[in-house]
This record gives sequence, structure tokens and C-alpha cells, in this order.
Amino acid sequence: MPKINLRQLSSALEQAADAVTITDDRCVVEYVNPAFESLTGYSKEEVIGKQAYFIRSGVQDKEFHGRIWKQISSGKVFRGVLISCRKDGTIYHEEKTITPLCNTKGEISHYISTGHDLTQRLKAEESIRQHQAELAHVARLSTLGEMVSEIAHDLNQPLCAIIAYAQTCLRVLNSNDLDSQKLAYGLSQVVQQAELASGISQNLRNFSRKGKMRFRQLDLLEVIHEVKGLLSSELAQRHISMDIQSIGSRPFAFADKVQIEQVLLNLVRNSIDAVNGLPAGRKRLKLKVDSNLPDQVKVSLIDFGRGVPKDIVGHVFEPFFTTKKEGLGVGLGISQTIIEAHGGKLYLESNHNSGTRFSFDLPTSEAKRSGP
Amino acid sequence: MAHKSQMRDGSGINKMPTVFVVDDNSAVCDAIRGMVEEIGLRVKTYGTANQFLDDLDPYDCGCLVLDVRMPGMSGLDLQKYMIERGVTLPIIVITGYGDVPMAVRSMKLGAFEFLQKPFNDQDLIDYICVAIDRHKKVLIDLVLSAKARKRFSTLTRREREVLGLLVKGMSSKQVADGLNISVRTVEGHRTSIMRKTRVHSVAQLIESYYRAE
Repeated sequence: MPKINLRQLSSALEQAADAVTITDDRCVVEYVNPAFESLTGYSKEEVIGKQAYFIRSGVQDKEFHGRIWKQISSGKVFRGVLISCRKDGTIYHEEKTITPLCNTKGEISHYISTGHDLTQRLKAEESIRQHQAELAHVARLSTLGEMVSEIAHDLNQPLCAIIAYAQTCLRVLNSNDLDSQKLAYGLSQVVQQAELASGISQNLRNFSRKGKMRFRQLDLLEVIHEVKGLLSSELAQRHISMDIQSIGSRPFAFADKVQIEQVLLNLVRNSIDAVNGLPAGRKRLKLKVDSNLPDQVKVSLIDFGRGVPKDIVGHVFEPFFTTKKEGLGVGLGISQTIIEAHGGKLYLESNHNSGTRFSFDLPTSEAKRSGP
Repeated sequence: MAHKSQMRDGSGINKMPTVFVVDDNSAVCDAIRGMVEEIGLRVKTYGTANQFLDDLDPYDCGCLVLDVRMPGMSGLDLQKYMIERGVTLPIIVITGYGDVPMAVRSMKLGAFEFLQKPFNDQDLIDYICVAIDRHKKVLIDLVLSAKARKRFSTLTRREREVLGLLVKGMSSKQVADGLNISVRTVEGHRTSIMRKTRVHSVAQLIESYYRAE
């Protein structure tokens, strides 16, 4: 080991970018470096001789600090994020390491704490999340834009029925024979159709909503059925059938409903394009959910189209890559980002000239999210 | 079937007009049913084109209210199928949002009228009434020409030759000269032709002849 003298060591501490605090075994501050001063706003003179507790923000409770104390006082190193308070009262996140130092007798004599401000990094991460959410929102609106004719058609049906029922009721009212049963029937149908229309518009509102991701235990089968409903007239119009197959118990995942809906919608609409124009026997899609796997749920969308051509297979997840006239070409890329933000994976599982299979998996609970 | 034949007159036409509605949206079907029943017409509704075809009698009188956009056999396909099979039921096309190009194609195939959803009840009822009236005339014409054809088919070869010249407006003398026979023989054929085709004047004969063609 090369010899380093005390002055060099001290100079290293003084110039370190991380904030360094050295306390005695009762947490009384003996030394802080300039980085500490600039991070916290406290001067050396203000803090030396004081217990280091002044840095606590109160956001993390006594039990939390108790656990840290227990850990370091038993000689173990603590690594974690502390939410601390500057002299001016502002709060910051600090990634901290506290190392106990022992004297020759093996007793703890000092604690060395090093830390750096996480605020910038957290801000950057939050800003990336926000950008992704905004991009996902734009992509959702773009998808809805492509579907606008189908959606308008779906909304128009109940409206047409409502008008026809209501006009018949008026006719009954104006006729000599005022049949209250006919009126009651017509009006109850009006209510039913209006509720149907309102349900469609509610779904659209939810789907086009711009908001923060709301993670919860989500029944994927329910979401799949909703997506099928949203696409039913597009599927019917193109004479494409879509089967839903569920393996295992109710498939719950820890996920945001709107975003998973978006992924499913993208995948199914891609597959609709893949089988559109093929002979009737191949106009089939299959959505398979498998909850029989440990800690994750797997969803696969199988189509019987001609497969993704070899020359473009490497590009399908790239943003703005598209082979279609309409659309932005962000669907699959956004879907992949969304699934990854959920702690899962989206991939092209198999690709033949007899069909493709896109699959994604999602963690079943929050605890499994930070897994491998 | 017994029920149907009871309503037919001697001509074989199903006299009681029926409004047939084919739309995959059951609420729209049901709403139109109520509307049509309210003005006292018979109505039958179907969710698919095939269900309607299974039930259709070529002598049914009435009209068809048809949604052009349906899963399975589309409205346009149904229309083409009916044309190929000589079904004369007039078609009122109803279309949803964005289906106007399809409605135009339907009109080019000879649809009677077209309405965009949602439609006004009076418009639909007016179209239905006019369509039914027209279809009655079409059916009567069809039946009359079928009868006329049957009668003309009983003529002999010589009688047909004479008839061919008579309907061109030739006199008995001109016919006789043309066929190199006597005027008396021509007049004998003419009497026989008019008896067989049940007409009482040459004018009626000519009308009946062109109907049969």
C-alpha cells in the first residue's frame, strides 16, 4: 500500500465532492467538510459539538432513525436514502453511507457519514417519467384519432335508436289511443340506449385522460374484455374473430389500467392489420392470459397473419417506424416503454409466415416489481 | 306457409305488405319495428342478411330497410344477391356515420332511397309508403306479364308469324301480302290469336304482346 500522509488524507476529505460528517460514538459532530457546508447551508462552527440530529427533516419517523441507529451501533454499515433538512428549511433527498469506526479495543469510537444530494437525479427521473407519460398520452390520442370513424359509428347506433324510440313515443302521444304500455316501453329503451352511449363516451374519456399513472391490483381479464369492446365494431367490420383464453386463476397484475389498455389496443390493432385482407380462415386473433407463472402474469397476442417481414423485424419497436399510411408509428415503442415502466417486458415471442406472437409479462404485485 | 297463402290473391302476390328490417344493431331494429307498427304496417326484423334470406318469399310485397354496414354478409352483398335472383323488393338503405360512400354504391346498384342514421321518423315512413306502393305495381306487372307470356306460348307457329306482323302495325291486307296467303286466312288467324290471348282489340293485343316480351 502506498504511503499517504495525514495531510494528504485531510486534503482529500476537504476537497471531496460528497458531504462528509464525522461524529463521536454519541453522534456529536467533530468534523464536517466544505461539501457538507455547501449542501446543508450550515457552517462548520455552527455544527461542531452538536448532535447530528439537527439534519433530520421529520419526514422519516423516529422508528426509521431508530433502526439506523441500531444497525450502526452494532457495527454494521448503513446505506440508504435519508430525507434531510437544510438550514433554510428546504428538504432534500440524500444518498447516505454511515460507517462505524472502531478503536484498538474494538469499541465504536466514531461514525463517518458520507452523502450526496439526490434531488437533481430524482428530478431528472421524474422529468423522464413525465415525458414518457406525455408521449404515451399523445400516442393514445393518435390511436383514438385513427379510430374516430369506428367510435363515431358506435356512438351513432344508440343515438339513432334513441331518436327512433322517442319519435315513436311522440306519435303514440299524439294518437287517439294513448297506450301507456307502449310509452313506458319506448321510454325505458331510450334510457337504456342513452346509458349505453354514455358508457362509450365514459370509456373514451378515461382512455384519453391525461394523468399520472395509478398503479393498483388490476384484473387483466377485465381490461382485455374492455379493449375487445372498444374494438368490437372494427373487428366485426373486417370479419375478424378474437378469442380470449385465460389460464389459471384471475390474472391480477400491479399496473395502471389506462396504460395497459393502451398496450393491448396497440397490439390488437397491429394484429388486425396483420390479418386484414387474408382468407377467412386466417382472420383470427387470440389473446391469451397466463397467471400460472411465479410472480408474474403473461399476456400473449397471437395472430395467424403472414408474420413480420424479416427486413423490418429488427425495427418494429423503434419510434416512428411504420409500414402504414396512417398512424405515427409509435405504438409498439410506446407499448414497450409502458411495460418496462411497469417492471415487465414486451417482446416478439415468435414470428413465422403462419403468424406472430407478441407477449408481455407484468409483475403480480408491487413487491415483485423491483425484482430482477 | 299456410298462413302466407291465405293472404295471397289469385295472382299469387302476397297482398299484405311487410316492412323487412335488416340491421345488426338490435336496438335500431327494435326501434324501427315500433315506428312501423305504430303506422299499422306489418314488420319483420333480422340481425343478419342470411336470416332475412332464409325467411324471404319471392312473392312478398313490401320493402326492405337495410343497414349497408354489417358483419357477415354486408348490405351491399345482400343487394347484389337479390338482384341476381330477381328479387324486386325495393331497398331503403340506412347508413351510420362515415358510410356515405357505401350508400352511394348501394344507390348505384339501384337502391330506392337512402337515409343517414339517425333519421327522422317521418322521412323513413314516407319512403316506406312510397316504396311499398311502387313494389305493388312492380309485382302486378310481373304477374300480368307472366300470364301474358303463358297465353302467347299457346299460339301456333303460323299464328306467331301473323302476330309479329300485326304488332308492327300492318293491316290484314299487308300481312296477307307479306306471307303470301289470303286476307281471309289472316283474319281467321287474328281471331284465333285474340281468343287465345284474351284480348278484345288489336290495341290490347299490342299492349299484351309487349308486356309478355
